[in-house]
Amino acid sequence: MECHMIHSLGERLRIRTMVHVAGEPIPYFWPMRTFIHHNPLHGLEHTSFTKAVAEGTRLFRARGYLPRTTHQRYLAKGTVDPKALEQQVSRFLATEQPLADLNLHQLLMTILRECPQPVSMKLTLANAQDVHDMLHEKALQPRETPLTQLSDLVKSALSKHAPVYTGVDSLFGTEISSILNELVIKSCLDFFDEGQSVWQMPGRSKGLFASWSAIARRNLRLFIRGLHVKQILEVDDTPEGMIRYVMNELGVPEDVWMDYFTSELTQLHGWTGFIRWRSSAKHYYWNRHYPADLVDYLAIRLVLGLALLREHAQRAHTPRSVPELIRFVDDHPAEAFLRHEFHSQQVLPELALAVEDVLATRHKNRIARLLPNYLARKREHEARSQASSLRVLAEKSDSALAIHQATPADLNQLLDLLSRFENQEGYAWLYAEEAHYMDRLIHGLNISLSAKHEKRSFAQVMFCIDVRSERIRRHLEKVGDYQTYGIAGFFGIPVGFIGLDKGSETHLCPVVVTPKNLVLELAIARSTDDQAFVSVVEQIVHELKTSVLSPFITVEAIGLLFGFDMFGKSLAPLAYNRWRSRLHPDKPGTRLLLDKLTREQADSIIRSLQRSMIVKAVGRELDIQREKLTDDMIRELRETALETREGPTEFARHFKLDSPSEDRFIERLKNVYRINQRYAQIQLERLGRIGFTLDEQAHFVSQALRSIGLTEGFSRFVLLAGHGSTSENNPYESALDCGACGGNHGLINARIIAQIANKPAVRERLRAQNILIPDDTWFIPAFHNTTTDELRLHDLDLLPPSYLVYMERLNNELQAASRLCAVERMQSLEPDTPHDDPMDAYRLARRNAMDWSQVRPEWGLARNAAFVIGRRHMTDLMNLEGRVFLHSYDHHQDPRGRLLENILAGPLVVGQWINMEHYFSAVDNDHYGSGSKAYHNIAGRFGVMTGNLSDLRTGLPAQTVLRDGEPYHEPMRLLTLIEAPFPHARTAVENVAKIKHLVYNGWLRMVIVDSEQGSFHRFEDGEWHQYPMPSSTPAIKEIPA
Amino acid sequence: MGMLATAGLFLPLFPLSMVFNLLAKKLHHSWVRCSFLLLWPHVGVFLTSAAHVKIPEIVVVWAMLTSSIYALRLLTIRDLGLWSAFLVTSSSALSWILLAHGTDEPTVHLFLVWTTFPAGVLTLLAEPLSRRFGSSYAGLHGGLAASLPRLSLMLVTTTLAAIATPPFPGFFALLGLLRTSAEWPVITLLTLVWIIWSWAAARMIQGFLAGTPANRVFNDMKGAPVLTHAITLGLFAASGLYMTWNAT
Repeated sequence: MECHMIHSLGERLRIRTMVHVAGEPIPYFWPMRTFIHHNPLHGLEHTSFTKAVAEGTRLFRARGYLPRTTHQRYLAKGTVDPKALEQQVSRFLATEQPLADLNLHQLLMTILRECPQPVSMKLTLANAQDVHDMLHEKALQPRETPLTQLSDLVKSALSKHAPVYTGVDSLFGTEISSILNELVIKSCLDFFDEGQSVWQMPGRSKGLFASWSAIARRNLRLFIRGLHVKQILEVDDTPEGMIRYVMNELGVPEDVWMDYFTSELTQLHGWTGFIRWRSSAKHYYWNRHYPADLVDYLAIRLVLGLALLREHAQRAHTPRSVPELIRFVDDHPAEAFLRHEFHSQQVLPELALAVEDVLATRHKNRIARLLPNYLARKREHEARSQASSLRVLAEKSDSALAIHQATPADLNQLLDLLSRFENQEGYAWLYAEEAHYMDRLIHGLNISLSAKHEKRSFAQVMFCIDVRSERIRRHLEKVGDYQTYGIAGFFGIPVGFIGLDKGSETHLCPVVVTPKNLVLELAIARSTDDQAFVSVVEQIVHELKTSVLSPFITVEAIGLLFGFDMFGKSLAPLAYNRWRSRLHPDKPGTRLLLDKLTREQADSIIRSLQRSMIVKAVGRELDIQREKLTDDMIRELRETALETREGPTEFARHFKLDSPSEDRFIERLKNVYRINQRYAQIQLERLGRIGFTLDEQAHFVSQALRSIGLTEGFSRFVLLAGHGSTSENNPYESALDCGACGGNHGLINARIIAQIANKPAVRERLRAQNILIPDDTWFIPAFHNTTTDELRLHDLDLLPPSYLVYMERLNNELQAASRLCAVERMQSLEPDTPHDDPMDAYRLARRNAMDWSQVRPEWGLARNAAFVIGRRHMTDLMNLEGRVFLHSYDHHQDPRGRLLENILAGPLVVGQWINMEHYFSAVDNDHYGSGSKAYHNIAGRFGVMTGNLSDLRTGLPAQTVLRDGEPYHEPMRLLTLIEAPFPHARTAVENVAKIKHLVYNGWLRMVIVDSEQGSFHRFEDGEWHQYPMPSSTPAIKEIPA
Repeated sequence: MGMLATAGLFLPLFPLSMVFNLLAKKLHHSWVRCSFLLLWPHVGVFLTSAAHVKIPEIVVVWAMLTSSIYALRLLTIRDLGLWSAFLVTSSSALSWILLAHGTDEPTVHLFLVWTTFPAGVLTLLAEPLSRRFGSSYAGLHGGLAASLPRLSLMLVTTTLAAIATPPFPGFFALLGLLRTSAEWPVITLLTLVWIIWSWAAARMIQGFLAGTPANRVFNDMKGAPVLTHAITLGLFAASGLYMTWNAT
């Protein structure tokens, strides 16, 4: 066999680079444990929104806008601005030539308003003359279609960048794509499993390609299928070499390799996105132990694809490479055309059976006999359909005469214009819907100066900017004397967190930030016996369920218990879960380790760890118990291992170890038990990450307070409400948690900042920065459960006794706000059932959180539409229906605009990701979303699949964005509204490159409201336009924006 | 024997069955095709009865093979009209087993009615499909469950009746056939054929019902034909149950 091995490092790197660049349009997919909302077209954000949507359609075969019928419903409902729609039509026509006597504006508006289906059709065989004849009810002129035209039609349909097997599939109906995807998914499930399977794939630590190829060489199932994978794998050991070999075998020209790779990688974009993210997450446990990257993945796809092509070629004489495919089309144009028609579902229905019969025989004469008839009827069908839809349009737009009088040349021009317009109309609708919403929001703003509070409010509450906070803020402000503020849910403190009994670190901050500091959670006191008992029982049940034989016995023995569990969870979820939670011991009280360790403390901790490791080593290696060791012996062994002393040890003398044995033991201490200088340094660095210095603590609190404009007038209570959700049997639970905390609950961040802000030393430093926090102000962390609307206070044991007298009032009012919020939310979840009673609504909300059959425990962030950065005063009289991210901001506190830049660079970017995730999941839930939850199955503990085998489902499930199959989330680009003087805000926008690109490329709509000037600026068509603020501002706008 | 050979044309035995299917394919009018499918096999029963000869064992084997071949062929057929004809071929070939066991003529006629009637109704349903989409070809226009729910329901219930699922009489007729034959090879093969029918039906239904609906809006079936269809299938099921009850 010819040797194809790549010896050049440069060549390998070239292929690696090509693959990585090719994968860039595919977005990351994070494990579902910490669901990260992101833009599915994130990789295309460098280009304009409209271009990216078109590219997304090409790459992911997905729709970028809602269908026209949905927009027409919105228009009838009044949520589309008709003037803006007309404006978009005029804009489109501005560059078009007039056409005969046709009123093009009226024609296009009629299409938008009255035609549910597209008017223009893709004409492959018919032309404008044929449509003209049909309009005049004339028979079509006979016309012969040259065979070269047919082969050209087929070749243009077979994209030169698409994988070869897709071309073979579309001509021969071979289904190689789906077989290949199935094989690749199975391999991925084996390799990427994170503990779901009981039996693990062997050799995973060698990496994806190496371990897969080792198994594939001996895979009997592949061999039985006739796939000679072993033969291919013998050519080269490296994935790069394999990629080059397969690409050469397929005959793909090297200049299109990158596009070919992109096309190959998008076939299963969920898996590709996961592998992309995983290979970039250096801290990720599973990646460190079982490495994999896109090069491995692509090599596997290509090897299996080639094997399948060869197998089909051998069995069914199908082409096995690009040149063979092209040759087949050129040599058999008629057959190729009919094949393409039939297998790409474009066949004329009435002749489908005849075409199938003829293709089954592959008889040249029969094909030649059928072809003229087929071509004639297809041409007539196209012309008739097009003429018919034009006729309908003509009638609806009163243009019957003009269209009837149009010449074939006019018709050609008209059809071209209609086709281009219908390709772009989605954007026109989107723009008009956004215009309507923007207009309503701006009209509702209260730009008057806020009156200074005469008396101190009872409490100030900081909520996350999340749209779900808006409702509870509104109700809280209504039920009591509360001032509320919006701030990113991580309260500006990016932190790594190691929870109680957890071995790994969780990042509690937006995913775009990497935290420098680490916080540990430590228990105050605990009963380990209770904990151990429950853990052991759960572990046993789990083992029984997952091993090979025990499930048979388990069902017989304790199956009834599971039945009890099932009935409890299904029939009375609230009561049953309350009872069941009593079986688990309460989580012990905990404190957070926030302060930096001194060098001495860190050294002492490391010394102590090393000493206990030596004791363990002595016991394990030499079977010597602790009581036989002296403290000096341990110290000496430690110093010898660390190489700070030399010579034989007292330990060796005492236990009569000869010199080689002693050296061996010391070596093991160094290498196996990691008592060496290098590891000690690593430990020291890790310990160095724990906690914050006092300066950092003061800085974070100061920044958080300044960013929301709270630097004076502090209340007695300042509540910091982190948020999260609770639901049962819901793989998407973390999608409902705090995005600013990396898809985790926000309580820890609230506890951290409260603990810091209550420190006298921190307050003293803040005083020096003119932030005067009175001595009687106490910061309390709270948790806002967005599924139940409950607001629960935490760390109350730290509360000084003098505050306890106010607690009843505080709790009562928080509960009242929760109940009122539940009424509003339950109405949106169940619009057909009245939910007037707050108690009932609150109970139902809690039931939803416990009900394992509930596919929609809450609406989450659906319907999000805007992001307001400014004073709460501007929006506090409006009912924003939980659709707006609210970030408090007072530009007077931020003369240099740095705080605003931080808000734009962090929270706004997260908001935009959330918005785009919802946008695309709503416009095409099958491709950008993850379809119905009802068919989801957990894959490898990190994702979900539809059914038992599918691509990893990215995006949001149908239950999150759709109601009864129609969008509940009205997809719009995030309208960002900044309240600040125009030059101030504009500079901040220009200074944050990411936001500038998003605004200039149309991914965000931006408005800057200058309250003092009474005007606003809107970014449109590449520049800022100034408008006066609407004059009439009603006192209370209960009408939603 | 000549009579018997001629009967093989009507109670289709491969390759004589090709004539039956060719004719079924040529008949485009749905009512004519339906009548043809329902009546043609009965001629075979008349002829075998008139021949007064014992059916040789080999004919049973031949009939079973015919039934199996057409059952397998059903898996690849996508045209509803042709699919119905092939199903009738596969099911009516089974009547040879009854004839070989000396079952009386009315019972064999009844067996044919129970097993072929829903397939005949299916050919009628091909007509509204063709009117809307140009043909009744599975896989070309998916998503009918969402766009045409009533027509989909009619299609599903009739297909279920055609492949002899309970409570439709075909189910009891096949159970009776299994009991009559009482030979393991026949029972095994018959069960396999039955399973393949179900598989083929699932593929056929999937080709129409699943997928994304077409952009165009089509009118669903009106109330009267849906009601007529429901009553017809209801009566069919009820009469089957009644006669099975009486027979046992």
